This record gives sequence, C-alpha cells and structure tokens, in this order.
Amino acid sequence: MVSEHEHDPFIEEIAGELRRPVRFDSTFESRVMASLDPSVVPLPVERKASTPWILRPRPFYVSPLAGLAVAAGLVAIITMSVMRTVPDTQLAANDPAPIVLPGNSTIIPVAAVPTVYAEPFTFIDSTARSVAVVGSFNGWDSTKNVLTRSADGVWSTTIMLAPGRYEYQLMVDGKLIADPTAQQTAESEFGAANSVLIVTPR
Amino acid sequence: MRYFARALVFGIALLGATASAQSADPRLGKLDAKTRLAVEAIIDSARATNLPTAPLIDKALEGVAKKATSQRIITAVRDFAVQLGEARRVLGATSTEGELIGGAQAIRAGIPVQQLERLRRARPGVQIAVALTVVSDLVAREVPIDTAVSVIAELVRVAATDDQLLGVRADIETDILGGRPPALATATRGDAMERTIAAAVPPNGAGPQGTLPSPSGTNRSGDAGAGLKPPAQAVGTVVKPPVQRKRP
Amino acid sequence: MLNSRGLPLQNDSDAAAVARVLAGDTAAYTALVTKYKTQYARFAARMLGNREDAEEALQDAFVRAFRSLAKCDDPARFGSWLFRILANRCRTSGARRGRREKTFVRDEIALLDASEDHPEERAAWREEIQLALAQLDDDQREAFLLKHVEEMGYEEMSELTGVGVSALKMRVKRACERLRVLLQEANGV
Repeated sequence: MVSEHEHDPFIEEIAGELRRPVRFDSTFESRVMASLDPSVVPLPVERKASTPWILRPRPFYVSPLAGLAVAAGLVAIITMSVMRTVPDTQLAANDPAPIVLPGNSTIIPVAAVPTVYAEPFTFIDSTARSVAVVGSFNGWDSTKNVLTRSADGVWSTTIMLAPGRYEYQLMVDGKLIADPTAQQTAESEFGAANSVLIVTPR
Repeated sequence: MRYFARALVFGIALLGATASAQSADPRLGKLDAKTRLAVEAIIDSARATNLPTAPLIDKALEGVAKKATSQRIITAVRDFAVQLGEARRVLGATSTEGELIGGAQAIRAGIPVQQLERLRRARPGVQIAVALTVVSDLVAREVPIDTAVSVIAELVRVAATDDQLLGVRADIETDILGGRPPALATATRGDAMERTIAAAVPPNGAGPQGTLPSPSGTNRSGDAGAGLKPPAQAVGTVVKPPVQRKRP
Repeated sequence: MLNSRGLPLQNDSDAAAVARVLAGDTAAYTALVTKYKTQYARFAARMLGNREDAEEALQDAFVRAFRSLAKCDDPARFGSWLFRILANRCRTSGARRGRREKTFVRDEIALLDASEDHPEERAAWREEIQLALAQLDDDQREAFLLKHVEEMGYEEMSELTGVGVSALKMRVKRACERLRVLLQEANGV
C-alpha cells in the first residue's frame, strides 16, 4: 500500500551522504563517566549481612485449643474474603436502590447488566473444514466461537457482545485470516492486521 | 513445631494462594513460564497505576494464538501498557477503558498526542472511544493526520453519534477506494455529515419530536440525526477545499 | 545478535556488562558507552543537525540509562532500550530549540563528518541535505534516518520505537517526498 522508496536513486544518494560516520570528541566517554554520580547506584547491592532479627525463627508455645481457635479464625477470614469476590444477590454500592411497596415488601432490582447485541459472523468457503472466530472477546480461543456450515458452504455464527471495540480474526482450517467482511482493520504487533468490530448501542 | 505455628503457616499459605489467584489470570497459563512471569510483572505494574489490565491480557493471548515468540509477546504487552499510560496522561484519568484503548491505538498509529488532546477538547464530557478508532483508521488509509483529526473533532463537537462517525468512516473508505484523494474524501464527507446534523436540529434547538436536545455526553443512536446517512446528492455539491495546514 | 545491517537489538555481551554494573562495577559501563557512542553518534547528529546538541543528547541519554539501569527489563537489549531514551531526548532537544533558526555553518558540517577530504561542492550538497532534513517533522526525520541511514527493517523500527509498521512506512514515505521537493527546489529542479 505504501511505496517504500527502497531503490530510489535520489533517496539513496541522500542517504549515502548521511551515512558518513560521525565521530565525537575522544573525551566523550570520560565526560559521560564523570557525569555519573558515584553515590547513585543503579540497584542496591544484594545485602549479605546476617539475617535480620525479624526473620530469625523463634520458638513459642501455645496450648492446642488456642491454636485451633486461631486457625479457625484464619480460615473464616480467608473464606469471607473469597466470598466477597464472588457475585451474589446482595446489593453492591452502585446497584439501584430497593423499591419498597405498600405493605413493606421490597423488590430488590437485579444488578444492572450491560446490554448485549447479537453480532453475526459469516464466512463463505465451501471447501473449508473448520471455521472459528478468535479475538479479544473470547481470549483468542479457537474453541469458544465455532462457525457452523450450511449446505451451500456459508459458515456462520452469532456472538452476543456488549458495546465496544473488538479485534479479531477468523481461523480457517487452523490458519488465521482477516475477515473479508470487516469494515475496519487494525495493525497488529504480531504480523497481519486484525479485523475490527465496533458494537454500538441500538 | 508446635500446632499453633503449623496452623499459622497454613493460614498464611492460604492467604497467599488466595491473593495470587485473584491477581493472576489463569488464561496466562498458555504462556511458557518465563513469558508468563514477564507479562504478569507488566500487568501488575499496570494494575498498580490503575490502568486496565484486561486489554494487556488480551494482547498476550493474541500473541499466543498467533504463535508469536516470547520476546515479541513481552514487547507487545509492554508497549501496549506504555501506550495505555500515555493515552491516560493525554486523555485524562477519568477516561473509559475504550477511550484508553482507542488512544493507545492512535498513538501506535503515529498520531501525535497534541492531536489526541484536540479530540478530547472538541466536546468535553463526551466519550470519544469511537472517534479515536475512526481517526486511526483514516490515518491508516493515508488521510493526513491533521485532516483526519480536524474533521472528526468537528463532528464530535457538533455531537455526531458513534453510528454517524462510523458511517462517515465507511463512506470515506468507499470514496478512497473509488480513487478520491484521501484528504478530499475526508473533508467532503465530513462537511456533508455536519450539514446533515445541523439540518436535523430545528432552529429552536429542540429535537425532532419537540423534545429537548440530547445532553452533551451522550452518543446514543437515538440522538437527533442518528442513523441518517448523508443524502446521495451531497457528494459532488459545492464543498470547501481540503484544509491545507502544516502537519504537526 | 545483529538483526539487520543497522543497530543491534540483542547482545549477550551487553547483558554481561549490565549485570556487572548492577553488581556495583560502575567502570563496566564504559564499555557500553564506547560501543553505543560509535553507533548512535551519527543518528543523534543527523536528528539534531549539529554536533554540540548531539553530544549533549547522547551524553544525557547515557546518564539517564545508567540511573534507570535496574528498570531495563532485558539487558541483552540494552542497545534498543538506550536508543528509545536517546530518541526521546532528541525530540525534547528539538522542541527546546523551537523556532530557533537552524543555520549550519560549513565548518559545522565539516565537523560532523569524519572525512578530512571533501571538495567544496560536496560540502555544499551535504549542507543542503542537512537543512532539508531539519525541515522534516521529528517523526518523519527519525523514521527516515532509521530506515535509510541506519538501514533497519520496519519490524525492527517498530520494536525500537513502539510505533506500528504502517505508520512508520507512512512517515518514511512522506519524508522521502518532502526531501525530494526540498532538495530539488534547492537545485532549481
């Protein structure tokens, strides 16, 4: 798409001139080394001093019952902290407030979930044996969104996606290719460009 | 060792395991040990500075899917983290994840940060994730950066919706593929969309059904002018010449 | 290991030198300075257009790299890490100079080049080239120098600069077009 002027004689002439070596003063190195503050060490040298007191093992004695009580307390703390990360039906701070009805019964609204939209993916190739979509919506996992083939060789699937921008490719018979129907592409650090899908609310 | 000490060690081990399980994504197990260590370090640093980590994990997984080398994956994730940080510095700490990803993409596409600032300033409070993506796409199609940013920033300023921005991008692409110079295609389609948006808002400022105009900050497709493609006769009518400005 | 005819991207001896410096042997840094001074002097000089600024930028880059050496994730790639510091420093230097008129005295051009023996016409031509280079945007100048002067491949340039290959190709293309216009104008073409 972009010509590279690789073999342009005019550019080559300019570049040739610019390739002439440039030499700095022979005192350059000593000036750099003199600029290095000797008190500023890039990384503290690994200490080989004796083990600090806080790390030295010390024996202490407790009754078995006290030990069990402490252990049980620790397990309870750990369990509770794990449970807090698991979504449950209790309201989080940002959830809608409960609605109180006459008679003091309460409706607790379900926590808001993002609206998702059915996004179709199609690929036409009657000779392909397997087609999948891999991208940022499924961890680039080729087992997650596999297309199914119709009798006339049209592969298709629908993926529910929340509004946002997604990069993806099609894996056809084990090889990654761009989606021919994609409107946008994005350069990838890993070689060929990714296809881009932008899902907007509607 | 006494029972209490054993229980204490067990409890601390459990706590440690829980903490590391919360911070490490199991999908990174697809990486070899050395790569995983390096990538997790980058992700931990990003997390510590409140940068989104999901995109970084996605980047690593993309590298795995594409069978990239360990060094390539590490470099890509690191670069992305740097670009996300730069995007946040430019676009603001309250930017959404989509805006940061769009900003990182724009930086990678070579768009100077001053141009990203222009997009942010175009209409304060409005999300510009799609605008950033559209600008990056136009630049990749050889639209001069200044032209792409000027046109899209102006559309953001007049409250173009995300669908309208995407529609303009698609039309510009069609024009470029049809042989039109990228700058001219962009300026033409941008002007046409501006006129469409202006025409959809009655003089009293109310929406089409007499409702109040959309508050700034929304890019919903239900906004005034949403879904309206520029009229077919817009192309070829009198248009302003492309902006001739020195590139930054 | 050299990946191109240009700047090395991975080097085991660099890793060894970095390890020694981090272990407290500051003098080991001299080897890195000597090596990369030779390699980067040209780039800095072409980016900034005069030797004084180039020496200052490269010296500053070495000092910054030393202070942050612990943050160099991959010591075997010290060279490319140092280059990023230098490239940023060159940009900062360029911005600081601002609109200061970039005039180049012939003696300056002569000092930039190591060769003692150049006819007058050649010196004038080199001066024009440097003047034209100075009129490019920093991005374009950097990309042009990496591609055509340091003879790097686009993948390496992308790894070095963090910018995508397409964007880099665009910058090189625009740089070439601009240089052609400027230098052909200068020659009355």
